[in-house]
Amino acid sequence: MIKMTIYRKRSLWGFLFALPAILFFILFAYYPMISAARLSLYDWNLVSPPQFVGLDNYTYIFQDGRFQKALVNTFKFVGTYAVPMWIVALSMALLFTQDFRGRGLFRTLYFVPIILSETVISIVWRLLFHPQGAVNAIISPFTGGQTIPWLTDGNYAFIALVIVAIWRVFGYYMIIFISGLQNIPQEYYDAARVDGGNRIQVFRFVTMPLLLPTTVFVVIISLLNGFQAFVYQYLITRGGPNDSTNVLGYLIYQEAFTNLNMGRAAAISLVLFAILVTLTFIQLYLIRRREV
Amino acid sequence: MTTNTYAEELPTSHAVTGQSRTGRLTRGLFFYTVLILGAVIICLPLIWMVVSSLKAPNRLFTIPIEWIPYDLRFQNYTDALNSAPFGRYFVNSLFVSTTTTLLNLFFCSLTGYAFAKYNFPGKNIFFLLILATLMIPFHVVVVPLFTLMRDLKWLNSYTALIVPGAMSAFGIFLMRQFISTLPDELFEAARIDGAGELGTYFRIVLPLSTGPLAALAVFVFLDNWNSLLWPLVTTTNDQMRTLAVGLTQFQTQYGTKYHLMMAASTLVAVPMIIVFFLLQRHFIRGVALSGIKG
Repeated sequence: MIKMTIYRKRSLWGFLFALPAILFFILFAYYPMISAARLSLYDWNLVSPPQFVGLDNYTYIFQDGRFQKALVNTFKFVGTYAVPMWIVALSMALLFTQDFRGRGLFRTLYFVPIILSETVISIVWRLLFHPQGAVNAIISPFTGGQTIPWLTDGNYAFIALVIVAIWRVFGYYMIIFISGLQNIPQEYYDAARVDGGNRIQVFRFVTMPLLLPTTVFVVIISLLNGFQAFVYQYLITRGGPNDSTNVLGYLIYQEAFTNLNMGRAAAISLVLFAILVTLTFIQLYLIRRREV
Repeated sequence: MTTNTYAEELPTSHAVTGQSRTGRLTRGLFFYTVLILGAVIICLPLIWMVVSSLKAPNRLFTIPIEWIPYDLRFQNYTDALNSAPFGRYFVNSLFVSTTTTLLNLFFCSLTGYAFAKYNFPGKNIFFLLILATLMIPFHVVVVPLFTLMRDLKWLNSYTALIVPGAMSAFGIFLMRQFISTLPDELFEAARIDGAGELGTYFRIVLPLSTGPLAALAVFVFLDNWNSLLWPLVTTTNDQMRTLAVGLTQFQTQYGTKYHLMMAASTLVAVPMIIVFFLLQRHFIRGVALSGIKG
């Protein structure tokens, strides 16, 4: 009987400890999430009372050229930034698992861009991509002095943003890969070597499968971050020229806080949410299948 | 025995392929070429930023680049500082980031403790509900959160900048995973010694969780220090702006005064770089820890 009350009392404490967090996430995650869904059915400019318009916002955005462009660009941006970034991060991580002088120093250096805010980085890179800027100055021996219109040509502007995005984050994912590689027990490598495996075989049959959890983490996090890109587009290109670098993350901001179309912004944000949820479930499904 | 130790000291790939001395040399050369090239690509933009911050406005865009400024214009810094209240932005960023970090450390560890060591009805469902919020992108909630702040009259206040970030689902997950590994006997012993439930939190959980707490602190602080969208949306008053927003406004206002922009950027970047080099172990360990959770 006494034991029962102690147990009850203790579980009450546990609930009390968790209560602030439960309330917090209801108020600052679930409530806004539901409001966004509701808001996407209204026409609202923050000033006059909201007007219910049904699915009009959705039909509007899917016929809107800017939205279509931003949707395609988002996928294009994520694809062109993520895949090369994984390759660079993993190859560098493999380099760093070797013993060499100055390893700590190089690792630290590669990590520096993560510390700096995207804001500072964007402001600096915008000037580096100036027609007479440092990028053109450095590559001029290879281009024959030709001026590359980095930020005024749609295709180049797109590449410029991808370069900045990779430049900032590869060190971060490299560190994660390094710790993943270090967690692989040496015995596996020894065994593979005894069996006469060459370097490619060792990588394919030892490193890759044992690194899978780390790789999955890197893939999920980098894709989620890529789909939410905003700062580079906002500060380096303003989504331009002619929306050629605009992405959903920036379009939401523009619709909401420049054009004051709250409902339309909410509708776009729900499309982004649907993409991210689908993506996460596909990845979870793939992991499950691999593990079973 | 001696040969064994020797073999272990060799780089892995050498032991596999049994390369010759010259093979190792060219490999080493290749190694350092790649590493140094990488380091140059990382550092050049930052060096360019610092160098340009000391130049006259007409010397920024030259081909070839003047890596050593003709004369050092430290006046750029005073000019930049005089054209916007960077001191105030700095204090705002520091206060918001520090407070948010402390709140996260407290609440994430407390909630993590509850989910790791207590049983209460609905525990698993609540935990799952909190974890599920990791899937909600900030862009989806930014508009409703903004209107919520407006309705609460929190716009242009520290409350708006701090409260919606006071807890993180990732932090709660990290702390729960760690606290689960602490042996139950510790908590029993503390209770026998007469510690209350809050007492065990302060005397057992907090002192034993310094590792993950340091990692969490690094993440939350960096996230808040660098955050742009939320402070951009919630602050219109210049006195409430953070460094990131202030710098953005500076860019819009003084769009063509590139030398001043680089001076301002350097002022924002250099303190972070110094702090990073002082605390780099914690930073890198923190990131490594976040990867292990996957």
